[in-house]
Amino acid sequence: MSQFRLEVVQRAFGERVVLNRLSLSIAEGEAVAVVGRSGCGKSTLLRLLAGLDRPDAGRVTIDGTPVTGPRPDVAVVFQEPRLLPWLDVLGNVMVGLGGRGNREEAREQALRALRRVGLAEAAAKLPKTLSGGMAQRVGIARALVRRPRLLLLDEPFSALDALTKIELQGELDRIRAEDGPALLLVTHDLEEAAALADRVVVLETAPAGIVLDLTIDLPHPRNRRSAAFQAIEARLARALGGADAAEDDAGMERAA
Amino acid sequence: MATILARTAAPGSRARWHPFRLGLPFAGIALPVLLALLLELGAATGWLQSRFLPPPSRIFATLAGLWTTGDLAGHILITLWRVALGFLFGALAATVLGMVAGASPLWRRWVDPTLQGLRSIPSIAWVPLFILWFGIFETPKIVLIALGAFFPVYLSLSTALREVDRKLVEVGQVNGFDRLTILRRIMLPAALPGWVVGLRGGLALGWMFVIAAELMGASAGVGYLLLDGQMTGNAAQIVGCLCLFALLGRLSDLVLVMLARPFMTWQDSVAEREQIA
Repeated sequence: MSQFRLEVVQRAFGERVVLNRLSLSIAEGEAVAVVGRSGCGKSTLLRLLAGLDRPDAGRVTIDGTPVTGPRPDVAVVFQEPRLLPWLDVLGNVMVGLGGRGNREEAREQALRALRRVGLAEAAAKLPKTLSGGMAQRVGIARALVRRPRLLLLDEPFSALDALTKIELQGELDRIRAEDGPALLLVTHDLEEAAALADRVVVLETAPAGIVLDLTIDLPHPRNRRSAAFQAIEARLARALGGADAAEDDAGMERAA
Repeated sequence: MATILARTAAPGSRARWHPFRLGLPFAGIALPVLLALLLELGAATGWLQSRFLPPPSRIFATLAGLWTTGDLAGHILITLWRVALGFLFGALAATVLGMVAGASPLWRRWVDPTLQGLRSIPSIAWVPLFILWFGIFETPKIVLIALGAFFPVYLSLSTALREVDRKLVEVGQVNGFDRLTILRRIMLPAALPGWVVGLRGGLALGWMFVIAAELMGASAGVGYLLLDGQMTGNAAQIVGCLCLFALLGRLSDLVLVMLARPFMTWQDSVAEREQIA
């Protein structure tokens, strides 16, 4: 049963149509990656589910109820960590709790979330002293502390170096196995999509429509060197870049 | 500049004395001291006509003389009082209205243009009206100073609020903050540095307008002392008052910066690294 749905959604900014007649459903606990070139409207898709944006036409629903704004059971991790620079790390994670409720309890929950991303010792640090990877970890903790049913991630690792990226992808994979929130991961990194998602949706350039909706049936954590994994990556690349690009890749591989 | 050098210097070399590595307070005072020495020298050798530009020693003696009679402290206190009171009222009103302006598009559309129009009236031009309304004693002076302090604070706070990064506001939105909480917990802290800049500008204008107010007609205050120096042809008293204004203005600005600093350590800015006021 699909709990999170966008139905025949359209969205334009002025003259520019970004999404056109697009439908997408995510089941409870399902991890869906949306890949596409930059500017193809994949972030808009995420913002619609986050309640930060509304479609011009179509319906965005969660459990059948229209999304009219941000919801307590949905959390967002942005591309940039977007930490509040005047709050320490713990304070930033507490922002995820919406500033309500018992302060002591909130501190406890925030500390627990920080421990899960391995940053408990950094609780009192100011954002300006954090590295990019640490800052994004705080951003993830701020989302986790909400105990979301749906976790939206907008190219969360694209600004990180390769090593940190793989590390954080592994953590996200583990967190998902533990908590089991549904995931919508917007990315342009095909390997990332293939490593983390149960389903990968490939969008064409704006106005975006779905060109491929591929279910990946490999166990987590995935072995990125396996033939099956690489076949999936190649298939995604073909769908994204058209046949030419994929053949080029294949040619390069043969040469190597 | 001196502090940058001091901080980038290798730890081992710190013990060695170097003129450019002196701490900021000393480095900042070096130039005025040098200037004073030159003036003193110029007066002593007769290069400068001390009737127009009295030597620092005579200025100091004049101020000291005024101090021993007890007059100077009184003049300084009354001027400080006027600036403090006017600045307080002006900054307070500006802070409240600046917040409204920053948070409310309705205010920006309907009220802000009028305020901007009022802002383009040179504040001194209000003087005749204020005297007509409030008489010639303290009230018009305080109102004038408050008016002077109002606009920089209002303008910089409302602008800073409007320029808060939309991305940070979105963080509040997706985490379920209501509008008031977003204002309180995201927009106001983000606008704090801009507000402080406005306060400093407002305080500077407060000093400007206290002179205007005291030149207009006062029986006490540093501005009155200045006018008195002109009437009696006492250049030392005039220059002494100028020095007082420089000193008081700078000190009050420093106090403001010191008060604000603990709230701004989170800034990852050049100034925060260098600790320059």
